[in-house]
Amino acid sequence: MRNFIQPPASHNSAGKHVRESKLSVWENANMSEKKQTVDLGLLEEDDEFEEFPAEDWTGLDEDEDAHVWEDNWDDDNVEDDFSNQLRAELEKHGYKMETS
Amino acid sequence: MAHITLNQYLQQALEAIENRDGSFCAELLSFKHPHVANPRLQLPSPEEKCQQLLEPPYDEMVAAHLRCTFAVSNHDFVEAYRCQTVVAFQAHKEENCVLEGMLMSERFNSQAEQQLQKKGKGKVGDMLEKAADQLMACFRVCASDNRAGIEDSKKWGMLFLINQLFKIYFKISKLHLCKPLIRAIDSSNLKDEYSIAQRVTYKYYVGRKAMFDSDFKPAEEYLSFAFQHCHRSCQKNKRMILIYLLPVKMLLGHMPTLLLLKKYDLMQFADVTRAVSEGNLLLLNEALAKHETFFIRCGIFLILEKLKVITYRNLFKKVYQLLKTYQLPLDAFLVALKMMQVEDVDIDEVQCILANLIYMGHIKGYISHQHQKLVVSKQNPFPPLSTVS
Repeated sequence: MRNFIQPPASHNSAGKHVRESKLSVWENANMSEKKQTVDLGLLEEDDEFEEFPAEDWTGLDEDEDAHVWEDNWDDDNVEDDFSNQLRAELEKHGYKMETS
Repeated sequence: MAHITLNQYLQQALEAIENRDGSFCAELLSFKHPHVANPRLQLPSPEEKCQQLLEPPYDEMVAAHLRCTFAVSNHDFVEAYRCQTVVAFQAHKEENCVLEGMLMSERFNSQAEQQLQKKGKGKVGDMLEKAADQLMACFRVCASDNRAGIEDSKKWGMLFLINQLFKIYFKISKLHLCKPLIRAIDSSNLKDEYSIAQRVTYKYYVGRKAMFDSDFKPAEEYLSFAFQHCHRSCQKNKRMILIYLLPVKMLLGHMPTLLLLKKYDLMQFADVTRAVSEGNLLLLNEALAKHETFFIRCGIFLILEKLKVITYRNLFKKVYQLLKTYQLPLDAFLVALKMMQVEDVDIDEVQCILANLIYMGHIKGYISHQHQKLVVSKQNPFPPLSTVS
């Protein structure tokens, strides 16, 4: 029975495991901080336009990013969550609004 | 190339010179060619050998280049930069401005900068300025070349040199120096004849300059061209162009799709886009704070702050759409702003914001102080953003 209570034979690894799991929160935090610094650092060095593979090319070598810009967000639509939130707030302050 | 002897290398250089093979010559003096990894060529004092085989000024040029490879093998980038400058200077004496420009723009600038920074010498910009001066000298030679034959004209080197100068001016934050260069290209009849690579690079920098000058319509034009025509294998370049194109497009009322942001790993803009299009000032402030470091590093934080104006416009437009009246109580806008947790906001502040929006053309209307209302035009009171300058 005592074997169950005591830590397993490979005492160090178990102990280490516990230590690791407690530290992992901090390690992860440090890692992500470090990672951010590394990312920023990379941005520092790689800040320049890289060289193109050729001087000239045709449209075939260009990416067609079609339909990537939207203008319809500005249409008269007040049914989204944010608009509903605003509507509720205005009603709360006594503004009466006709239902659409 | 990586295994030839010094003699073989010098023989090749001699042949290239005698055959007037400009491009091979450039390769032999360039840092992008595999020969630089050859330890047999990394020599601290190759002058004697060079003088034996080559005529001036090529003996000096090649010797300096070999000293450069030696310096780089020792990670002494400051010295490498100095040596390469000597090579470039000799190219200058030969009036080979494109070669000179190419040599000046090779990677040492940034690496030498980093070394100087580490040694605590603050004069990082100095070296770049000197490089810029030398490039400017090349540029003037090219620009004033009035040879009859257009094929041989030095004017072909102009755009290449301008792009190198732009790189430096952006790095040392002296954008105003770009102006004469832009004028030179605008007035050149070759401007659409240069290679697409050079034109894409040029429009990227000119687009960024226009953005900083708040000329958003031209900025959109230049950056869109660069984005569209960028070679598809250069995803990093496309991403860089997009980083500047995004704020410009948003200020003109065109929002990016999530698909676009995902494709180019620019999800930092996702919340910004949503916030602006909703009129959600609170979310915008949160999004800008969250990715502040990234935006500042890209140099677009202040431009993105301008999106607040667009967001106010969108928020107030929603108030108008919800209340469905042309006479809007100022208090209603106050309610909206308080919902957005805008600090210390009162009716006076509301009037101030409204007055600014009217002045900028975002709202067509006037403030009635007597009735404490905003009275808007019955026709198109919130004109589309792309029509507002």
